[in-house]
Amino acid sequence: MKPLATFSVTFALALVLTGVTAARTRTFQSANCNAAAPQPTASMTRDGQMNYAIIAAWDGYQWGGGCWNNDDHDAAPNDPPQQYTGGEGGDCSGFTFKTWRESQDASNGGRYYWAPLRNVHGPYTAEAFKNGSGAPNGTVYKPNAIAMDGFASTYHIGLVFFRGSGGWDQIIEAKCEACGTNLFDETYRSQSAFSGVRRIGWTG
Amino acid sequence: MDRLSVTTIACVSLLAAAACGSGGGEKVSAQFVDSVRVRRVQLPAGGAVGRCLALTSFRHGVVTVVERRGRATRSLTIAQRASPDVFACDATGVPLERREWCGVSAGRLRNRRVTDPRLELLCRDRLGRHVASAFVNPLPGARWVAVEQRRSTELYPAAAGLPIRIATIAGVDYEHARATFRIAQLDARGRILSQGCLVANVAG
Repeated sequence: MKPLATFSVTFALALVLTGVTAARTRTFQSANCNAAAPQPTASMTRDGQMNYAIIAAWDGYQWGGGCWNNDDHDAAPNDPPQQYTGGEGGDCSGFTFKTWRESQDASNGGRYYWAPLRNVHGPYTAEAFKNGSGAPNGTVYKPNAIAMDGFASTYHIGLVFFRGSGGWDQIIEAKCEACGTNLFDETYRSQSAFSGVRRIGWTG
Repeated sequence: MDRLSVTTIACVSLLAAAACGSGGGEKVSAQFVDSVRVRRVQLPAGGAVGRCLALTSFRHGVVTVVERRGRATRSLTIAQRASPDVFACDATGVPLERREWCGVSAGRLRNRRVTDPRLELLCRDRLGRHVASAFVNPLPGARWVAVEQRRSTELYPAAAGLPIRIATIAGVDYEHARATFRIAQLDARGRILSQGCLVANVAG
């Protein structure tokens, strides 16, 4: 076969295979999420971030994830647990990172707005939040934890949405693949495995 | 060095690089073997080990501590009999918020294997570069995990039947909270048991 013909056949085959590969690996994140720069903000109020957080409710959970829309539908349900598969939703630490308007630079305590469809997880795990690692993160005495403070264990973090009584709170959290992201009644405040954590720098 | 030859290490490096699609071809100019020490430590403990332990959930009894010292990092891998948890503390000599252990990770053990690499990205080296640390489950018979670094191969010894804590500054995608480790597992005679890429995401 002449060289030009050989090249043409090979090139055409490569194009076809590329299309097949692309179709097979298309995920919610690759189809919907972006990498837009975060917007620095001067203010960050607890009420405002409660409104932000509730957008993620019903929109799924993704291990290592950080991107969701606001259609109250998990576009990628039943993903294998503890595997990064590019589905919709954040995990507990990614959800907290975005809700707390944090910088990817752990030495930067400033406030940055991340749009829900901006795919970002941030450098923190639940364990890191629990230890107060990073400039924006601190700890708080659990009895003093209020709305948009958090409770973090070695493996999980959730944010107070409504302070209850009798040892429970309404927590907004990216809980698990089967559970999704939503409001749950939890007793984290009274569990010794959980510590109180707080975003430093609320303005209201 | 268990009959491990420079030739074997070089071959492993090129193969690992090729397996990750990087094209390989870069001649390995040096190899570095990490030191390892295994201790059983009675809690509570003092010193640097004690400061790491304070970041874990272990408070009583005896723990197994595997200390590795490498080119960029010093790590402690800590486990306790009958506990499903394994912790790692990572240090680069550059404190994070005045903490010598810049990174702490926690993992769940199932049959002595972690279910997730527990990637840690908060540490930086003396040049300000992000250092990625993660767990690798050793295969039966694995004596070393070889990690392809920028201009060398670093060998991490297996110890105590626990996951092996490895680190790299190559393959770090901080923007996406992800790192790719080019690794191979070697037996005591330097034979390759497996090779390929470990892609880890900050999660959980």
